[in-house]
Amino acid sequence: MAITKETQIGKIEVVGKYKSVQVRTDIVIVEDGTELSRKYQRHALMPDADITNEHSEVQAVCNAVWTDEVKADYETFKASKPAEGF
Amino acid sequence: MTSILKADTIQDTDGNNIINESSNTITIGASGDTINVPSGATFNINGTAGTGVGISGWSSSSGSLLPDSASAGIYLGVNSATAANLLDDYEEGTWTPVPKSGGTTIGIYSGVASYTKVGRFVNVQFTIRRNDSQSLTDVLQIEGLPFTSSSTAMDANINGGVWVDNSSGDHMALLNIGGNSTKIGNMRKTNTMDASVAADEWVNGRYLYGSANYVAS
Repeated sequence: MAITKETQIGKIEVVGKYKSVQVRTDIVIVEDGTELSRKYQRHALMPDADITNEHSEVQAVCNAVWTDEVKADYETFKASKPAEGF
Repeated sequence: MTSILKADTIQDTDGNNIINESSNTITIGASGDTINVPSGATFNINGTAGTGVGISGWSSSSGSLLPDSASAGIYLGVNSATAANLLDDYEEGTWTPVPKSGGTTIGIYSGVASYTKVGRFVNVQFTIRRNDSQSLTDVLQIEGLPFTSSSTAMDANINGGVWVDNSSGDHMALLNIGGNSTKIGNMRKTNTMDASVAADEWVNGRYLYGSANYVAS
């Protein structure tokens, strides 16, 4: 009887004007090939995010959709926001 | 002794088909007939539901409806397919709050943070405990939200609240999530006018509890 814990990239979604990349990481418990449970962990990345430690599939999507134009538009958007924290 | 009746067609006394078999297809009754399953009887379909049986594109999993397509949903409150009435997503999970002050990450002990998403509506809850003694005076923000907020969110939205649970000098604050954002950008104190919670107003070793609701992109 072998119980293993696997981490899988369950879903990568690109949403919104600034091509935010939403990542769902699935934590899967498997016993002898049969899935016992699946839990979700989420995070989302904006075009100014450091993706160095992201999964290679996530990096590939980010690099594909975050064009220079998208990055520039997002920087302009951030600069337009109120100064205090918003 | 077992008797076997062999026939391709069984008809009633008027000559109408009751059961007909042809090319591996069995037809029960004929157009205009009513086929009754009497009270007390059980009608099981253990094979694959075909045309006209159940709802196309859906099956049952441990008693729950399961669509073949992950993007399928249910239209509610309408009798024609209208996108604004389609409920097509539900998800529960966890996320990792990353508290920051002016871009500097504030260390925390392992936190507890969960989310529930129903359609585009997202509820997040979190409990984190500061584990960082450096002096940080900028506005406290929390990054790492599980979904990007809608572009239609306004910068002055009130999305939820936090309790900064210090040993003394607690703070209650209303929190804000702006548009196109993955962070809680501002926590406006309710016990002090015109002021947001600064990072050092959350004392090292102490807890911060919060929850928020927002619309995802």
